[in-house]
Amino acid sequence: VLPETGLSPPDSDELEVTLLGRGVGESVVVHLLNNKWMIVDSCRTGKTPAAQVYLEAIGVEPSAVEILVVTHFHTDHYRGIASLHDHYDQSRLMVTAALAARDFVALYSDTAEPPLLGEIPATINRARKRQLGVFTPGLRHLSMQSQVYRHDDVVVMALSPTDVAVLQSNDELAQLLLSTQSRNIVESHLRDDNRCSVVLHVEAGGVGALLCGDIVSNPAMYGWQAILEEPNHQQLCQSGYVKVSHHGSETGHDDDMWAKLVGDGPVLGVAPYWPSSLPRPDDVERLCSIGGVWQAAPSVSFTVDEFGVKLSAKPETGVIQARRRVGEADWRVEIRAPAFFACSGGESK
Amino acid sequence: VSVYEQVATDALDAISDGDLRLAVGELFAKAQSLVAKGSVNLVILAARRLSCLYQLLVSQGMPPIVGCPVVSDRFLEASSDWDWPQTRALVLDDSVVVGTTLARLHDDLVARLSNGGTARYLAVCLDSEQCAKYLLDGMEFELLRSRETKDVQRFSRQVVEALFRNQVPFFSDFPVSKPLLFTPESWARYLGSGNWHVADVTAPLLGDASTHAFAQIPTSATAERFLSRVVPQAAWLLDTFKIRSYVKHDFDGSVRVVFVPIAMLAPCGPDGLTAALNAIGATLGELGSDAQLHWADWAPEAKHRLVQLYLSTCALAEIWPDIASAAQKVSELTAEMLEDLPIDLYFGNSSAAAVTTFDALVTGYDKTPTGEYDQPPRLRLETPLPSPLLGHEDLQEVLWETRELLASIGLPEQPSAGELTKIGLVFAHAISGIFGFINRSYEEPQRQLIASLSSKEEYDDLFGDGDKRLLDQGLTMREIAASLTPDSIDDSPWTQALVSLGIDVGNDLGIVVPVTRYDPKRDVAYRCYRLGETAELADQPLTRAAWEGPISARAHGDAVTRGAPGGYPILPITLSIKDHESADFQTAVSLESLWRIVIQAVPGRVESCYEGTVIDVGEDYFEANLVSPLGDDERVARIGVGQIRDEDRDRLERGARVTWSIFANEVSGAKKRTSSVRLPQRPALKYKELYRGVEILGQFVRDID
Repeated sequence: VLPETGLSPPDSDELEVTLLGRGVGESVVVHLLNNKWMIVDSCRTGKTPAAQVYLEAIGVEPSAVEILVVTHFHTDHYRGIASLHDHYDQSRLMVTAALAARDFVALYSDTAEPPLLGEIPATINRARKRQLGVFTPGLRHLSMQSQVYRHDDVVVMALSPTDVAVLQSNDELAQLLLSTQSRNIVESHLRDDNRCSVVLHVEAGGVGALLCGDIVSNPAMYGWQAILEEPNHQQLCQSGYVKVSHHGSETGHDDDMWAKLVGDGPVLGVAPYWPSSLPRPDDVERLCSIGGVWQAAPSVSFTVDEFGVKLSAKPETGVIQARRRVGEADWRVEIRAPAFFACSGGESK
Repeated sequence: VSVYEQVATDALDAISDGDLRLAVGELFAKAQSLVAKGSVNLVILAARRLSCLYQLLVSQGMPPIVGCPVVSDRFLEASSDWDWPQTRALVLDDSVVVGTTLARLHDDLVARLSNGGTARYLAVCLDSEQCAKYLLDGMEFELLRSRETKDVQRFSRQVVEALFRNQVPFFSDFPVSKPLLFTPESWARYLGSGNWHVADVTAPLLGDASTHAFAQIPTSATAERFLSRVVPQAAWLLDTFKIRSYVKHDFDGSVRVVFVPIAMLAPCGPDGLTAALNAIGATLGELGSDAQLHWADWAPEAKHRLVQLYLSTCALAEIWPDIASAAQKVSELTAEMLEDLPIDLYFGNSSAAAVTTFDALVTGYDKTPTGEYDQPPRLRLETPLPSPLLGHEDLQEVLWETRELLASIGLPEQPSAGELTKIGLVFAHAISGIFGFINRSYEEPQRQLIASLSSKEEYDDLFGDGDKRLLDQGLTMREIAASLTPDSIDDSPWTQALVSLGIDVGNDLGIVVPVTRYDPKRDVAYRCYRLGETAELADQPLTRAAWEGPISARAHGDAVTRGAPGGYPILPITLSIKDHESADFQTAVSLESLWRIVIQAVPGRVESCYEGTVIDVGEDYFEANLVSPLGDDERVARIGVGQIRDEDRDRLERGARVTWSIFANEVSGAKKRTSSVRLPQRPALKYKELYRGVEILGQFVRDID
């Protein structure tokens, strides 16, 4: 469980982006002003989703959470989403459009244990039945240009996935399902597929934040280049906060993205991914040259037990809380261990 | 002595407490007297066991209560035609242990009764040590006898024995056939027909040379045929189905068999249930049937049970030609072939309509050709909230140890035509032992807590909301299967039904009680299993008894475990049906031998356990993403290939499932830790089955977008 955070809720006019990360799993909690909240992705801390633990710790009522987003179909981004959806019973579930594609939908019928898409299909099914208003269903699929939220000056837009990414991803899955009966092969394939990840752009009165999910750069038609090329993305305000893509990996990096979508000296939140030892030292170095880097947990640490098994440390959830009022010049960052400030401008602090 | 007391005394000879036998008769005599005086216009039998006991006594010559409907507590959820405000109810119970079940029933009745309605309560006996008497305050409650806990437990056990001995199935949700007669040869021919896989699920403690319990699981071909003859709206909801039979070899050489068809639904929403009932009603209407059960206002739980009843009826119709060709003096299947009382107890004043519906369903099924409907998709998207029981760390440890035990000794194998599989003591105990453990670890302390309270208000404050009372907490079949036999999910009908075979044993022993619940949060009605009043019969999970049970437990085991020295096979065995009667396979095995098998399979108490996925494979190692059963601990591990169980090494590849356990034991003061790495088999992905649901689900998705 998260340690006593000692953190207080934001003021109603404060934009907040809080990254919760623990080595395997990440979740981003966003205050959209006026006590409206959005949760992007889920991981657990103890038995409870980390986002819920955090929001309860700062005293946010369940009814204040309006949106749950699943950026893509990897367990480190959705573990606990079913519990979140139950707990925040007035929230709307928004998932990557890939999950509405025919061959992904076929995987909803998988009854093995655990199913290939884990808790996602059943949660989507419940969301589908959750009617939030006469014309407001409880489920949306997000792709490039989907408007996730708009209220007063606050706008959240999905910058991805592209239609091509969804179609290609679905097509490859179809080919695979035709050619193999092996769960292992299909599961590994899905695990390697990041191109359908949702990227979100949050803007409140000129203050921007970019939540990059696990989007990768290559091939260009699926990644940052496609996002940057979209005409409607040319007017986006530059972000001073970035939840760095794909755990800081080089694969998520794109020079043009940093130049066009991100302002000077940004706050960079990174959630590590221990199975791939991300972010690696050179990843951190690269990010430090761009802005101030806060990491939610150490990249990875192992011990070797008496059986010769090299085992990662027991994960704890770090908190990187960033807040900024409209009109303020900078983001204010607070952290709770094991999160730490890694470096800025090439220097570690 | 009245005829009621006389029949009870004679028929319940399994109950050693003669005074309690007498009191059971007295209970029904008093009930009849109150009905005759006009003080009562509805008799409610408070629990499944008393309903079965009533059936037993009536079958043995006790006059049924006449003058008003006699119903089970199920009727409360399926009684939209009943005038509750004017009801003068008499609630009968056989034993009151804590009093919480009766108190909840009382709250339910009080909410229904007004304008002169009354409720009074009459019980055979009360547990003087555990009963929270404050719960009974304010009730018009009459008690016939009082006993200490050990005597009430013995009474409960012996009632179960009496039911089994007299072939009264311990069920209240399914149709029950009248006893049918076979010759030994025709019975063996019937079992060996090849359309169904046969399992001997006779419980340790209950069976003897002349009494057995079987479960017949459909072959894949039978299951496909069945599903293609049932309206899709109902077939979609079906989880698994089987035929139970209770068999007695009489002295005259005949074989007397009682059949119970059992169709179990997957968890489903009220909309799906309504669609299924409407579709079934429309089909019956097309056949010219005017059978009408007015279910529209029933509770979701009652609708769930009604669809199960309908599908169970169809399952009986499916197997009936096999029965009719082997049994004596049996022709076509009609409601005449069923016991009346279970129908009356369930449907009360609507039982005539239920009987008509049964006949219409059978006619409809018989007229529906094979292949009439497409195979339904197997969607498992409706799930209730996870059971709170699974949040207990110590229960998760016992589940894990039990799962490793089963993985080591092997699951009961699918028998071929002419064969049957006896599921074995370890498998039978695995399921029952979980509920025994829940009873000992959580229920008994909770009972003590409840008994220590002083008022109903205090009780309501602690237990009034949700499912905090242990008896309200159950495990779904899928939760049990996912915990104990994850390798068996999503394969043939046999493997899908495996866990239910273990549940059959627990059910017949009264250790496991099937209940239907409604989860308002997720809007899902579902069937789950909670502990029964005889759960103490299996309260020492084998892994715990083998490693760390108290000396006395280790020496003696619990009651179910003691089936081993009684000749109950320890491991699952498959044998020819003709050999089954020879009883050669029954070899008494000492408990020490049993413990040795357990210890070899599970070398200590589990200290840490994870399961996950292989993410990378090197020359002599692999890496895996691992998560604990509670989901609260995630790790990355690099493990030497040499640690993988020999028989699993061929499965090592990226994406493979992996389980890693560390067991610890203490021998002669030295602690020994053992690492166990398994790569469980995974069922194949079946392209056709995956895509069967796309049209339905795809439509949902497009509708929303």
